[in-house]
Amino acid sequence: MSTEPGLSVIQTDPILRVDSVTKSFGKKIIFNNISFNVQAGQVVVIVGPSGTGKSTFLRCVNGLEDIQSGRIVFEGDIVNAHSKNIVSLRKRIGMIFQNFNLYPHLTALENVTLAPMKVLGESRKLADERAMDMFRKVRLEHRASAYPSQLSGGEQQRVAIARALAMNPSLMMFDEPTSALDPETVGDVLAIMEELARDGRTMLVVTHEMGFADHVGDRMIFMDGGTIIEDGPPSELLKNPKEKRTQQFVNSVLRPN
Amino acid sequence: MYNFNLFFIFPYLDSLQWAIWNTLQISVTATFLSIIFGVLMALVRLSNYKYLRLCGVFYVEVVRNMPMVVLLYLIFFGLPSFGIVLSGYISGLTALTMNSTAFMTEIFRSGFMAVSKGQFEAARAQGMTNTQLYRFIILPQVFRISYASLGNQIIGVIMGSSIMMIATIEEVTAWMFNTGSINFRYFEVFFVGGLVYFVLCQTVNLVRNALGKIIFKTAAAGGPW
Ligand SMILES: Nc1ncnc2c1ncn2[C@@H]1O[C@H](COP(=O)(O)OP(=O)(O)OP(=O)(O)O)[C@@H](O)[C@H]1O
Ligand SMILES: [Mg+2]
Repeated sequence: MSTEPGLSVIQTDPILRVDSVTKSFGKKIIFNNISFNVQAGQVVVIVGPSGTGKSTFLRCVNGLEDIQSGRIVFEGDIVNAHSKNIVSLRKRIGMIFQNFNLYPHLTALENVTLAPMKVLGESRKLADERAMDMFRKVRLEHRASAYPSQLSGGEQQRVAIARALAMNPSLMMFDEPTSALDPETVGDVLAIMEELARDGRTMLVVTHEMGFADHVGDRMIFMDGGTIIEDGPPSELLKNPKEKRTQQFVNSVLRPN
Repeated sequence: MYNFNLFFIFPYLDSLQWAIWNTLQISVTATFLSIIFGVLMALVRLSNYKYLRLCGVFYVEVVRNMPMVVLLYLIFFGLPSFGIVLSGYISGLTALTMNSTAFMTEIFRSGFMAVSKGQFEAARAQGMTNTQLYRFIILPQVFRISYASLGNQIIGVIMGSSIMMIATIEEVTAWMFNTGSINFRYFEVFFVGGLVYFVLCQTVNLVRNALGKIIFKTAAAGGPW
């Protein structure tokens, strides 16, 4: 097994193992032969141009999409989108979407407590208490009884983070969590994500926020054309990218014309 | 000059009550059944399996493009030729339910289509089973989206129930013809019958509005929609 740069000498089993995974829709190959590991507590940032399959990749990790070859192993369990145990696996992976995807017919509090009660079987009392803890964490305790339509984009995304946290997942996946937000509210969401990272959460983050990637990420993966072009510490990729394509991408994102 | 006088109806109020009860009973039952079948048929129409989908299309298009009277004739007078004899009530209920199901299917299908894909994904990503996903996330939204059209279709069912006299069901229209043929006060009889339908349908509207405000906590009440 390869040793990741910058990790302690005591090598534990990775929480997520991606072995030569290929994904295609019909004849169209989205990514090919992708491999990498995520260790517990790591924040791995995935960047790359639009349409490279970053979202599709996250969706493969929790089995919302199937894969055509290779293997994804999460906490020792093989991810198989078509097997029954995918449901129990998904409980342990939180997912944050670009468009929040809050349940519009439920209040913020109900959004957060529904799955803990129905999926984990928690009592309403316990679920409510834990939800309020989560609301404090995302600094929205005063908005718990609001409906999604009454919340700003930034607030909705923070509720979505609270909803994912309430399941106490061992991996949190973020798919461009700030791309649909007004510039003023982006900072609020990033600040909360940074806090989660500091708490030691394992995170897989697709984002175009290079500042966040550099600051919070332990590792950066640059994907393009269906493969991983470069994988390493964010500062390396941002300051001294080895590959020409990484260079071009970093330039285009950091200095948009 | 015709001497309009509602006193001629008084002796028949008892039978009218009974007729209203019959109209209500068959309408409520057909509504209830067609909501259930409509949701199921909407799922069939949105299925991943092409042939299942085609069956759904076939059903909806055939039933929707045929007057309910024809359907009722086929069931009540046609099926006995094949040795299938159904009672008047069952024939009527079947025709009314089949007809309403076709429309309910379309109502719920557009409801399902209006729920964003992200809702399915968010719920699945949280580890919900398909049953939980539909019960807690999708169906409540579908019902909210379809609620107004649902009310119109319930009124459609009450209107449709007016041909059930063909299958010897003693509903309000049957009462009109029966009573008219006894007292020959057709105008009064049709006037009262029309009034009964008007009141029934208007009640459906009012109840639907009031209930909607409670269930969905409309925007005015600080709710989500
Ligand atoms: N269900 C699907 N069927 C067919 N093609 C799909 C499907 N979902 C995604 N694709 C295609 O897969 C490719 C990768 O899409 P994906 O959304 O994963 O890219 P992305 O890297 O997340 O892009 P972005 O930065 O714009 O979000 C795109 O070309 C898209 O058209
Ligand atoms: Mg994407």
